[in-house]
Amino acid sequence: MTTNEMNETEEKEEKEERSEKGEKGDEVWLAACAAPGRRWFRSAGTLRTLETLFTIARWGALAWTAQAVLDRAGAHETWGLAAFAGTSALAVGAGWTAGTLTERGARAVATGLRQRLTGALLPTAGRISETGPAEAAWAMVDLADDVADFHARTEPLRRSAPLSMVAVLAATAAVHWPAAIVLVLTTALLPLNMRLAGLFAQHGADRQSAATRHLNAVVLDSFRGLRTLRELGAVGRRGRTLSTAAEQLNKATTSVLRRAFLSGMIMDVVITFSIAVNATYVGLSLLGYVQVPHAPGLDLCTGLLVLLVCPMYFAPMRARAAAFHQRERATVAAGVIRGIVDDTPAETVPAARPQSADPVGVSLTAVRFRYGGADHDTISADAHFAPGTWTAITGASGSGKSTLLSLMAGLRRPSAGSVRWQTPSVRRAPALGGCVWVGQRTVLLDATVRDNIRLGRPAATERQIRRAVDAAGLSAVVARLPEGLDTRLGEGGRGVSTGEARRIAIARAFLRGARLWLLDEPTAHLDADSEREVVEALRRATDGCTVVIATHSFALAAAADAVLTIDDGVLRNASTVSTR
Amino acid sequence: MSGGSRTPNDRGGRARSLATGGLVLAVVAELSSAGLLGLSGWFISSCAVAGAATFSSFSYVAPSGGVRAFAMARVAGNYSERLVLHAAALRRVAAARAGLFERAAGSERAQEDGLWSGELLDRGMADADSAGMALIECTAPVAVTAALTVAAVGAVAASASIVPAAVLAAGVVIMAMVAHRTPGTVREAEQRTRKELRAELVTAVDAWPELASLGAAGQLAARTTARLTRLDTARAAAGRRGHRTMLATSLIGTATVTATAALGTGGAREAPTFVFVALMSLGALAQAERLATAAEARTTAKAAQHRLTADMPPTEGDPTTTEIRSWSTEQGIGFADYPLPPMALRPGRVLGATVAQGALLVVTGRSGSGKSTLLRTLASSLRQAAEGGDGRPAVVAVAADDHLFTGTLGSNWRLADAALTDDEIDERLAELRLDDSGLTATTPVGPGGRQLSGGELRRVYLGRALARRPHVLIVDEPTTGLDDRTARHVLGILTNLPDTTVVLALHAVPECLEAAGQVTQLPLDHASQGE
Repeated sequence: MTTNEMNETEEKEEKEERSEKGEKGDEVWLAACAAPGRRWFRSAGTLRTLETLFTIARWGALAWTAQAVLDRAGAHETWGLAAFAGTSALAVGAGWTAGTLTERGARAVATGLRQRLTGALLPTAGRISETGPAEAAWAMVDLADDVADFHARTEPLRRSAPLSMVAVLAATAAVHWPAAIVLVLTTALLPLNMRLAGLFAQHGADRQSAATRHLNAVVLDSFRGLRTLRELGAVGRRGRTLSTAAEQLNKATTSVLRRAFLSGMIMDVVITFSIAVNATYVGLSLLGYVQVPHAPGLDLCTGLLVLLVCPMYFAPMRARAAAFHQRERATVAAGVIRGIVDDTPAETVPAARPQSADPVGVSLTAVRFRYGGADHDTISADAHFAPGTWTAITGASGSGKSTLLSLMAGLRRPSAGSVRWQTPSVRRAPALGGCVWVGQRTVLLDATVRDNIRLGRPAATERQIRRAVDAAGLSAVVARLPEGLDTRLGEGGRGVSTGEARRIAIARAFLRGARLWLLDEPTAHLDADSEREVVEALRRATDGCTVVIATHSFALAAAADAVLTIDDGVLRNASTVSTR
Repeated sequence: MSGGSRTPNDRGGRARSLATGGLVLAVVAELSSAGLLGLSGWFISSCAVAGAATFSSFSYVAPSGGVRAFAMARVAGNYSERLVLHAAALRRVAAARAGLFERAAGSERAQEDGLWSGELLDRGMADADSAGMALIECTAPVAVTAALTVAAVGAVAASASIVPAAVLAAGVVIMAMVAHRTPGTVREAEQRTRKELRAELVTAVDAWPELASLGAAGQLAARTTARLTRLDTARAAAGRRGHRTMLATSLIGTATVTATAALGTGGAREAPTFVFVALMSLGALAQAERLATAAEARTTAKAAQHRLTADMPPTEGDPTTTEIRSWSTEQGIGFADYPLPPMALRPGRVLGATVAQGALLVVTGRSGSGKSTLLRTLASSLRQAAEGGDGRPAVVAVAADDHLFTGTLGSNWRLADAALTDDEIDERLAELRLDDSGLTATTPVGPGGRQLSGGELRRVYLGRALARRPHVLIVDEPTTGLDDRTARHVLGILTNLPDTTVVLALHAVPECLEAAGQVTQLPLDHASQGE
């Protein structure tokens, strides 16, 4: 089992290598995520540009009113204020519509990503990626939003930023061209700032992401094992682990934030001082102390307008700079999501209900399985399981019985050799959904007992369900439950014991009706009496099916047509398998 | 952040002063920002008035110096405010998380059944986040708006008259009321659906392999997709609501500015005053528009805070703990008056037993006969009865679904006894014959012990509990998943603990135990009593 871990470590290293090479690819991938919301983002960008235009008009109206006040022109004053109110309302309306559309787009992006993640984490075919539940939940709930928020911020800007800036610049130039030159000159300073901020940003974001992931795992683990912690008297120690992880996260976050704020400050300096410089310049020209040659003269209206639109010129750049740091978050998020989504197997074998015509035999031809990075095979097997036979596989704990079964089920692919399912007419590779599997761990869904049982066959009739319940020896358990079959089980199967959960798994396996049964210690939690009952029921229900059971139980082994053992990683006595 | 030795009180005090400092800086930054714009406008207008006049005593030095001062205060304030506020908020987040864990660890009974991992992950992370970040998203905007409004109203009243000042104040108050009125139910619904999605995913990822074989992977994905759709719908509703409020406040803001400016020009007003009034009220109202978001953040944070401090919900249909009589003395332990509930194949009765110190009590019975419940009740009763004193715990119980923490075997073992070295742990692994399958103290166990087989897990749980050297060790099904030879070996270890009284639950008493002395049997099934 250590080999399994090594395998995982190597995979991680591989992933890291890949992420270094594929950084450009990640950018492209991140950009492609925006596709579902692009329509909304485009319209939002157009409306943002409109908002800018209305706002310029609004400031014009205000400046014009001020001039009217200066000139003591009462009628102009009223008209000016009316225009101000009107253009303000228009700007508000445009901004509101743009916000609504952006949100729409962000939802579309997040939902698109979540659907892809669902497809990858819970595929209908092929091997699941080795993503843990904590990381899966994190990617699905938080990271998808990180990416969506980033696109919501940047995509509308893509259209509106240049247009808005050009509009402001044009307005300024039309009023007083020297002020426009000041704006153009300050623009040149900004890319430098962006580059500076980006220089060491990636590292910080990576560290933060690693810290978040670590904390996530520690929190989930701590709460899951709280009872154990109390038994072991280790609550305090674990609490310290938790707060250390939280502190790590805080440190990483603070260092990311510090850089983000620093670049924000540089931006602030540019904006603030161009306001201050503009104000001083306009003031001095109005006093007549400064006069740029060939420049049109300034009055209060034009001077005030120049001052007021100045911050607007920088607004899109500021928004972009803020998004720049969201980009880091989004890039990291996209990397994680891509890592999960890319593992999705390409083939989509439909997991239809198996044809119940012929029993399925299994042949293992020179099958070897070795966990990546291990120096020896976990299991090697050469065997034929004839259709309709019962075979028990025994072996010491950890000898590889479960691995062998997972190879036969097609949950894992052998490192060498081939696994084939065989009916009199067809010989094919294992396909998910074609056999029944009951594992060592049963996980029940948050649904009624009935729904859990008919999971493999939603259209099952009441009689079929009852038969499955009887077969698995669940009748007494169901009778005890407050609402019988309609009793709702909580998350993770809360409400039934581990043994009962196992029997529900057996019941749904019955109901599934596949012709190949792979059972991993199906009677592990049953006493001798129930075990005998279950074995008899299995005999009845699997009449004509091929059954392979990994077990320690003598009762099961005695009931089998053949017993194979795994000894030193080799499946033995395969030649003695006989047809019933 | 560095002080592991710092007391919680110190930390709390520092976090509070950080938060206060951050709020002050935020107010300074925003006041400077509004002041910069207002003063610049006034300055330009005054220059225009002075430039138009043939003779003027207007001096530009003082106002332009003021503009520069505001500019600098704004830049410095903005930067330090963000840094300080974030540092304070992050501290709050961390403290909320730690508090939740301590509370969960402290509440013995509710936690046994009432809490569940998926939901708790959500609580620990998201609720702590929103509760802590409320400082930035809610407290800071509200404080800044209040300060800015007071300053703007004062400035308008001083420079123009009391009427526009009153209008401005009224406008901000109405905006605050509209923002506050936004009910949080939509936002709460969104949070709830998020939580459900998270919980579903934690379950679904675990359940996939078996369900995929059943051909039910599609259903598993469909359930997740259904939760996803619900989240999307909830978000849409919340978004609509939020945008509506924003629209309302923005329009009220526009009306207020217009009214204030109109009243500011009334009478024989000067242009500088008009511009100053207009710009100051614009600054205050722009800030007030952030109140809608702040109110939303407050609702979220309040809900989160409530969940963080509320009592753990009792599980539905949770059987009340049975009260039994139990004792623990130097001679051994015993219990009496345990009411065994009736079942389909057996009538109810009252149980009791005594075990000498160092001896073995084996509870047997078919699955579902109540072995685990008996063991749990006994453990909790003995724990209350016992008074420790020699540093050894009175009772350690190993449940059938015990937990292995992500990390190495060594780190798991050291949870029980922090002083153990890797070599010592290796020895214990060898005693349990876990070294046969290549396990060492440095072996990583994977999330939840996934890298180990069922039989290996059982032995690791047992070994870890043994490291605590309890007076009483209670083990549910210690031999599940073990082959006969290993099972005999494990039971052999359990019978040879001179200082520890052992209580086991097994399906049947194996031969190796029947032969050994000092084994008390307690069959729960009538049927098996005669055997």
